[in-house]
Amino acid sequence: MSVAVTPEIGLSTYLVLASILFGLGFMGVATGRHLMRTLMCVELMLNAVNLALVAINNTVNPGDLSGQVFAIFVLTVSAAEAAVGIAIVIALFKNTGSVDADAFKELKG
Amino acid sequence: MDWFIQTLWLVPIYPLVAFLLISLGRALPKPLAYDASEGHGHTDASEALPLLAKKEVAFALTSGATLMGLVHAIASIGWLFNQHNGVVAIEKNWQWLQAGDLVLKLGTLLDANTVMMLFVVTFISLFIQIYTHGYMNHDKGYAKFFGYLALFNFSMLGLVLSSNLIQTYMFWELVGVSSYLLIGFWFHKPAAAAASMKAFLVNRVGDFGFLLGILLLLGITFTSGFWHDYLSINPDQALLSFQGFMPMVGALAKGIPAWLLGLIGILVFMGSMAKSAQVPLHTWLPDAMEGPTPISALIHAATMVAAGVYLIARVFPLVAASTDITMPFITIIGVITAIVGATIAVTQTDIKKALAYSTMSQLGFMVTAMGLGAYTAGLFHLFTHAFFKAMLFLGSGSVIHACEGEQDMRKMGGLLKKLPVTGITYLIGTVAISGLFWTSGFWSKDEILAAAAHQHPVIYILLSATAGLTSFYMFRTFFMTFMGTYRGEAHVHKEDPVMTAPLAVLAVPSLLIGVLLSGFAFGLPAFGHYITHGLMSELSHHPHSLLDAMFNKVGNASQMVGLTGLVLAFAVYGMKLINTDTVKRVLAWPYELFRNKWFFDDVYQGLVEGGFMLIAQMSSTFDKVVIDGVVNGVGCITSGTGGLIRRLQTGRIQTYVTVLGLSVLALVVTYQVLMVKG
Repeated sequence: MSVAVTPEIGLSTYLVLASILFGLGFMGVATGRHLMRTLMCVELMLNAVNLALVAINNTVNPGDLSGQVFAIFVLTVSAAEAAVGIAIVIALFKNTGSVDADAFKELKG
Repeated sequence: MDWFIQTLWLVPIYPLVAFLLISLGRALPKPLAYDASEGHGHTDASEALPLLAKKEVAFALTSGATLMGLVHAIASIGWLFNQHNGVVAIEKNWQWLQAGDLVLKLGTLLDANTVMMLFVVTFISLFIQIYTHGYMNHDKGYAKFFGYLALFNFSMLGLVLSSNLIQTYMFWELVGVSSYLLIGFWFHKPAAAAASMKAFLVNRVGDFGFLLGILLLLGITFTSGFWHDYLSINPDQALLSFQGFMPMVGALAKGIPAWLLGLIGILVFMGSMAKSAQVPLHTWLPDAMEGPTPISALIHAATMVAAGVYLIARVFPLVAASTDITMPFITIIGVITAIVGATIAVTQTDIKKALAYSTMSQLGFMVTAMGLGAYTAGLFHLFTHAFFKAMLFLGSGSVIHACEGEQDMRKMGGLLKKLPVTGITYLIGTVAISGLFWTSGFWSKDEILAAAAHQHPVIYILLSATAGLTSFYMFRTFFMTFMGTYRGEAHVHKEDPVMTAPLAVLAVPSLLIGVLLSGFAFGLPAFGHYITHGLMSELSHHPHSLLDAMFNKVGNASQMVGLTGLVLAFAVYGMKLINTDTVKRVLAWPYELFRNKWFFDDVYQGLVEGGFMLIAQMSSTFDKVVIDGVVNGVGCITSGTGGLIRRLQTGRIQTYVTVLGLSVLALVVTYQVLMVKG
């Protein structure tokens, strides 16, 4: 029986994954034009941060749960944020008939 | 009697109260019925007015206040006559304000000068107010006019009574303001508005010098500690009190250089130059004739313009202390003014303008007398001149009123038959101002001429010639206005008794006051006796006995000169023996000079246009280029920068997020780099 050589899953792995997720989310926010997609990408960025929090906590101080607790807080807040964000998007759509981010640039200087 | 002397401070208060009440009446809301009928002169409607806004009330308030002042003045004449080398002056002061050691006081000073001016101002004022009642009866601004008259009386009486130079300056300015208001009374006429402005501005020039003089005097006497010592001996007196002038000037003459003393004298005299219309600050007086005629008579002939001479009398120790600088300066200015005024008066065709230049010339006589040290002669001429000149102006007003506003003498003539009282009183005034037949002008003018003869023959000859010219141009106005045939188109109205009664009253002093106070009649002492009775006696350069010796010679000569003027005027304007056009052709050059008022106005115009306007133009360019450049430059840079930076605000969320992310990235990278290095 051959033992498959599995690379050790360490902190760096998690952080790389979290960075990739965060980068994807950021790219989505920075380039996406559909507001729903922007919101989802924001969720992605938040979850990348959650992952990093949990991973770092587990490595640095395994007996302590503060990283996990903070991650749950972030989940809660992001749920609320998503609710408000979607409400805003719906309101915008009802008023203007568009959910394109480029359509809303009244604050142009 | 004594009560009136003790409460002299009330004298300016009466007209002030009258002025305030009349102003209050004008501020009260008017009933609708009055507004509807305004301009129609409807008498029924004026009955609906509030009590204070009524014409009769305004007249009663102002003339009542003046009458009360006249009672005080007569009481003070009694006080003056009853003195026997005892009290020569009564000064009363109240503290006004205090700043450290500097205590300013307001007060009244009663001496012979005050008594004379008090009587002149209240007496003439009262009769002019009665005359005004007739003259301004149909004017819409009747109440306003009487309010301003009361304001003028307040200022003038405050000036006359003031105990110190600082208070004098305050009332000096107030007199200027009332004069401004009254010259510009018919401000809807552009000429009147311009004349009032001119009077105000020209007076500012003189008043500025006056103020500098006061401040210089105050600074020197106060810092030297002189006043501290003086007031410790006389605690009741005010700072720069006129009573303290003699010792003050005595101390100053020892302590400061002569040129500084002379400079102070000349600076203070600048105030007189502007108020008394002395060359070169005389140009406002003829223009001031745009005001209503009673104002010309009261302010610009009898009282306010004489205030300049009165001021010299008040500060006479200061003038007399500088025999090398101030006195010759004053004399020269006075002589020039007398000559310039008289020569211009010959060419005037407007009756009021001719009288205005004659006033200027006579003021020149008074100022010359002051400069010669003939202090009493100057004041005596001021005193007599006030009566006959006020009467002449009122007479001209009566003529103008009768001729429906016509002022050009070429369109008058033969008015003696239609206006007998005016004509006869005008003739009396003309004789008086010409110094003929022992009328009041003869006595006072000859005292000045005697002083001049004593002092310097050139001045005597110049003044005598001017006196002859005075006689000529005054009889010229008389012949042109009252003799010959009527040349105008306007329908000549009858005389108004309200206006002729004051003329008749003023004719009495014009004839008699000179001889009464000449020292030759009824054993009465001479005018100079009262005036020099006080502290000034040792200063007057010419004791009266010396003048008496000169008097007969000078008196006869001046009678001859005056008669020559009369005969010449009769030949030219009465008999028409000499054609005026021929004279104008033969004497073309002097005629043009005199007709153009010696080009004073043109020179000033040129100075203003060439000098002042040039500076103004340069300042304007500097303002537009440099100052505006800096201000606008700052604005341009700010808005330009903003215009560039505002492009960063795209309004697109993606941009903001990108910038945010990149910034954080840059921050992290920088931090890492720095950490690695560190």
